[in-house]
Amino acid sequence: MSSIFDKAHAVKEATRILAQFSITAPPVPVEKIAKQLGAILQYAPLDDELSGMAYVKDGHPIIGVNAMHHPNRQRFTIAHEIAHLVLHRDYITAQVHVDKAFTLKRDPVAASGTDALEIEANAFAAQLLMPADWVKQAFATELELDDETALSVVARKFRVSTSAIQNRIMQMF
Amino acid sequence: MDEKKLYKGLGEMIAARRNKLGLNQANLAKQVNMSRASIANIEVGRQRVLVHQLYLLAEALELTDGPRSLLPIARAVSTDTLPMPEGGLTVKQKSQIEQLVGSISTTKPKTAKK
Repeated sequence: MSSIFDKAHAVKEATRILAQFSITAPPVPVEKIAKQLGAILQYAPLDDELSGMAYVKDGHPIIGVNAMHHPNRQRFTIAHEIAHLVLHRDYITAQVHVDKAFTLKRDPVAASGTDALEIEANAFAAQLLMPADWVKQAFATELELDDETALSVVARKFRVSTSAIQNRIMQMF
Repeated sequence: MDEKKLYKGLGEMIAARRNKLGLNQANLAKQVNMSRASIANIEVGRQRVLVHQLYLLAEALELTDGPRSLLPIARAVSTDTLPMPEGGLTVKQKSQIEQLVGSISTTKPKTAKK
């Protein structure tokens, strides 16, 4: 199995989706995007280890989200599942795709076939929720604040966790 | 609904119960006024059972709650088993995911936008 993954394409697709729905400022309405892409969004209490799932049932995409998780985390999960729907529709049609917590955080080293999907999905999700340009701009306006305060201010603006914004900055620079 | 699975499942239940009672196919056939060949065919799912025959069979097989206990459960004969990922999930996690997907009706989606 080849381990080719195309992060650049994933990022481009996320940017395209933002443009398509005329979203120009944070926080990005991921639930609305999911629904407008024709997905049925379903929250259910799942094992803590599970973040979410994606599956195309009878031609209708289903995105499942762990109802027990923090709303910020759910937003990232939804963005990640939207990525699977946009980038890997065939894959999530053939089989139910379940995302565990660790697949959302995994380091992009030594990628196997399934890891490639997760890497692409994470790149897409990061760009969808926290577009690089917007993040840069947000920090540029918070220069007078100390690092920690700036992080939490920007995180709140994007409605993501501070660790998500921190990871994002590390990817970007 | 998978009809093949349904009749095969029903046949297996009849055969299992008959064997438990120590009856042979000819004995059972006589009690329900059918041929031995019919019983043999029913037991492998090749012949469809009429409703009154089902009641007679249940009676002959001494099932106190009638034909009910001979019927396969709906889930077992459903054609849409979910293609779940192989491995990586515990039994509990798997059933949570199955429940989540099962709770969604795709026949009349609320957000059918093309």
